[in-house]
Amino acid sequence: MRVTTHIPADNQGRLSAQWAVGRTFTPRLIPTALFFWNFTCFISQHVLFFAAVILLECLPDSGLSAEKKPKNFANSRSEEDPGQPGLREDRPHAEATDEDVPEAINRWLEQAWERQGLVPAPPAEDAAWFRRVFVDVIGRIPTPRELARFEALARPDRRRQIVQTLLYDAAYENERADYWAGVWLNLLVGRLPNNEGNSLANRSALRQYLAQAMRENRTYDQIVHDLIVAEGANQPDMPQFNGAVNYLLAKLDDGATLQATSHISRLFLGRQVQCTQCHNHPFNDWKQNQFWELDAFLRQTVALRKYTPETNRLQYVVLTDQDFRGEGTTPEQAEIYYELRNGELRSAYPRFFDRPAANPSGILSESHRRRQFAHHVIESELLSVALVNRIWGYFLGYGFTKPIDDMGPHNPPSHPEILQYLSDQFRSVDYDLRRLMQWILLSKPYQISSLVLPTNKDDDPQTQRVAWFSRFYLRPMSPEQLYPSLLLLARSEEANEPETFSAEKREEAWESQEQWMRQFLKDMDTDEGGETSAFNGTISQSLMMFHGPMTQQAVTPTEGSWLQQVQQNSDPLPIKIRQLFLAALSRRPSSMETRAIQKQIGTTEDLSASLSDLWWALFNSNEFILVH
Amino acid sequence: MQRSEQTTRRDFLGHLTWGTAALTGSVTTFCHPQQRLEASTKPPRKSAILLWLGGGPSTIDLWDLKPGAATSGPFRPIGTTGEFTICEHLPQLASQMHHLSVVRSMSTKEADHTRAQYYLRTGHVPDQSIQHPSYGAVVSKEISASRTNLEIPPFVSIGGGSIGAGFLGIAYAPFIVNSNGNIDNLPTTPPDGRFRQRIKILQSIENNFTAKHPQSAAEDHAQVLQKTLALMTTEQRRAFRIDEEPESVRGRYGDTEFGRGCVMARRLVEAGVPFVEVNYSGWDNHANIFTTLQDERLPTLDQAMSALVDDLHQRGRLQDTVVLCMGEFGRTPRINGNGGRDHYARAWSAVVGGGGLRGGIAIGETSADGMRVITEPYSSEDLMATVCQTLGISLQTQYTSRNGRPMKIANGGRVIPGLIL
Repeated sequence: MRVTTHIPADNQGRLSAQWAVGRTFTPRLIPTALFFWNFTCFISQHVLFFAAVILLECLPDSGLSAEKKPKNFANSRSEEDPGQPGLREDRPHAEATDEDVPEAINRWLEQAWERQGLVPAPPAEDAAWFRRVFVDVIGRIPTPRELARFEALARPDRRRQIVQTLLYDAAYENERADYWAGVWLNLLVGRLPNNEGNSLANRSALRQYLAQAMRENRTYDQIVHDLIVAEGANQPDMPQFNGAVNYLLAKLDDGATLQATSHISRLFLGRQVQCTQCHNHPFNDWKQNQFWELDAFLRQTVALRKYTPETNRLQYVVLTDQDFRGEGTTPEQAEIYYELRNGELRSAYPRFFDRPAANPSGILSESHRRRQFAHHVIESELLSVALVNRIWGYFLGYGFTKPIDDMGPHNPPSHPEILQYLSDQFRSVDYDLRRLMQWILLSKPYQISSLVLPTNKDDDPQTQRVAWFSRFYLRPMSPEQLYPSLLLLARSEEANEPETFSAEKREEAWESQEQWMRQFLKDMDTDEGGETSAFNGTISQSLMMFHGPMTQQAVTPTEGSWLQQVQQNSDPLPIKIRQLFLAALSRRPSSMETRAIQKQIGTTEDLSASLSDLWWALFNSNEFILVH
Repeated sequence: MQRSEQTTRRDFLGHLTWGTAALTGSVTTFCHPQQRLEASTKPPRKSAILLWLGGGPSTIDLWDLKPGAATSGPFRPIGTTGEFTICEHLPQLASQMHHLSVVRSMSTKEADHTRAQYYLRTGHVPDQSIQHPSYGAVVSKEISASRTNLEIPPFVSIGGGSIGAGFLGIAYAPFIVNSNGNIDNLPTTPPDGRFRQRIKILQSIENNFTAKHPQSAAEDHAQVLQKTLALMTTEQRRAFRIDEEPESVRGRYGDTEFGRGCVMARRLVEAGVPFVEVNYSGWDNHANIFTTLQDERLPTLDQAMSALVDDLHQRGRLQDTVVLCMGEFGRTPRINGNGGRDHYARAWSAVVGGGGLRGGIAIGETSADGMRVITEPYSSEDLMATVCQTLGISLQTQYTSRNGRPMKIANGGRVIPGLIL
């Protein structure tokens, strides 16, 4: 049931030759991309060490196999879970190739369009699509040179080649890894910097782990496993440093594990169990005991604070596990208590939903609860279903459920066949994130334009429960996409050469991105770790785009910057206008646009100033700030 | 010769036509500087200030103490100028309580921060198919229609953390500012000719894209640009400048983020902003609740809120300004193992007054241990209906969401008897 690996070495080699070898340019956005080099060796030692420990020691006593992954997912789900009705039928058993998957997606979508009486938007123009896929896969707009290279490729296979290049080519590895590390970092611990509130987590150390995992192309189940079982010190330069511990450290609140339990369930399994902490789920049959049985898995886990002896100040934190005596009297039966709404007290032992109960002992050598929890999570079919829904939603604007991480019988998916099929395929390629991305990026809903037409205007997920994906829904760039894109417009090409960026410089660049982001963030300071952003579509954002320091930098021509090049070259005005359009919007202006702008700026005495005004207007436009 | 600032401004905004016809209304609204001069001569106008205690304040320790009960914390009640007692660590508020009333019979069902915050701020439980407008959006929409000389956003959220305008659209979305009074990246001088040139070019690029994407994020962007330009060109933005307030006044509110936020709220209300929120988070006290409250939260709240009420009263604005103080729920009467209290929605209190509401009374009652409401329970909808009613907004007002669903204002809540005179 393996999907055949689709990129034969020679094919990949050809692509590399075309795209990377002999490139006279390098991706321009380096700051976020370049900052992990010098940690690589250090982390890999520790991460690999822990991974090895985990694999060796996994579940010695639970009767479950110590294998990384169970073979039979059908069994692992079984009848216990009414969570995804209808999802278990019609499993594809034939081998699927990388071409088959997008085609299968297309078929189901087309059927749905027909049922809904929708005609999808026409294919997106190549330039618009190229910009879209750059922003979505490596987190920044393309440079004019990259655009030219794209246009030079043979048309029929162009899009597939681009997707492969962005996902697999070594030339984009740093940018890709660092961008996705940032995406996962936000999902795991949010955007707020370290130590706001009482968090013990080191956000930047977690990012190091994630960037390394992305660079190594660790599979999704491995990453989830790493994050849940992580042990070690949270700060770099401390003995047994392991950046991955910072995920759980961010969720542990003075020893309370409830937030960690809810978050693991919501993020990795797509199940919002937090309300079952106090009562049974109002809309389905999830029971209160299930929450506490999950939570019981984390009760051996402790955060040990390490202080510097001289000053008695907190130096670092070690995440580890210890014997748990339970809230009763017998550590061999270490129970926890929870209260029903009527005040009655109940006890709970570790158990993963309706899987067989784990060994109730709280003694570590008899039952290592956290490792069993991690094993159950990566064994669960919910893992792939939740991830597919999330990645689909990431690329296409909406998932199969709204919200993306609240799945279950109370919230049935819009396209159950696609969700199930993609989840099965994702598991069959061993949770290879890039394969999943490739399938989605090459399927029809990602190819079509964002045009709102009479035939698809009724497909409006802003006002309806369901998205039908009959056009590419406009969405604003995230701050993590906007910052590098703006930087790209402000810098000189030389400044973006990766060779000139030391590890320190990359770290600095990441710090300045974080600093820039901070102005839009507000900690809600609750135990759910909420934060709000004043970023998208607000007056504050417009003011920043009008007058902020990055804008000042971009409209001030500096040595070698794109703006200065255009100002100083001897090309006629229409060509200059086109050059600025290409750099900011990745497209040529229409002849009408060129004429209109020529009329507006052609008569001024100071043409350089006018070109810088046009430049300002381009990156303040909706077309720039939206992914379309 | 230099043209006057006003003429320049009118020219500047007047020539802009963004996107579709729907926007031209707001363009004209923003383009009559002469009306601004009349602002001071208009009769007093109604506004609301929401003091949001994010995280869920322990109302059993603030407004509805249970001395002698097993669930009582260490705090003692003290008498107030109203007909009820409050926490001993709120002595300055105690002397303002004749202006405010406490609803002690709030009883809601959401005990998860995100859901409860949504519910208390909109009057609706979260629903995946629709985004409901928050209090601020509703009030500012209803009131700003008649306040055409207002040139700063009609809904200001100080210190972040709000719920947006939902289906009412981005025009009523909260403008989120810090309490320091400086708006990031807002130039101190009016736009010059260069800037106007840039805007004209921008406009031609924008309209092209918007035409292909009706009813979408592209149009929203145009609206936000419009509002940004209005803010950049108006004198009214001085209302954000709390450093223009005398030191003596600022001192009364306290040198805290919340105190500064309350000063700004008063200034904004005076400038005609219909709805202002001041966010004060940090009330999610699952551990060590009593020291946190006594040492930090309560002194800050006491000083700023009492100063706000008193200041509004002294300036004759309290009659027109509703002050509402609450969080998303209360906290468990039972004190947990960490010396904290957990989320509790079934019985809690909110404080409200001003704007013509009756002050000095306690509405409703909870059981001796604070676990249950033993009188008529009130909901988020009821509280919202009461606030809307006293602001002169008809409870019969009905909106139609973008997917055609009719929505009654305050979700059909009942006015809480006794609060409205």
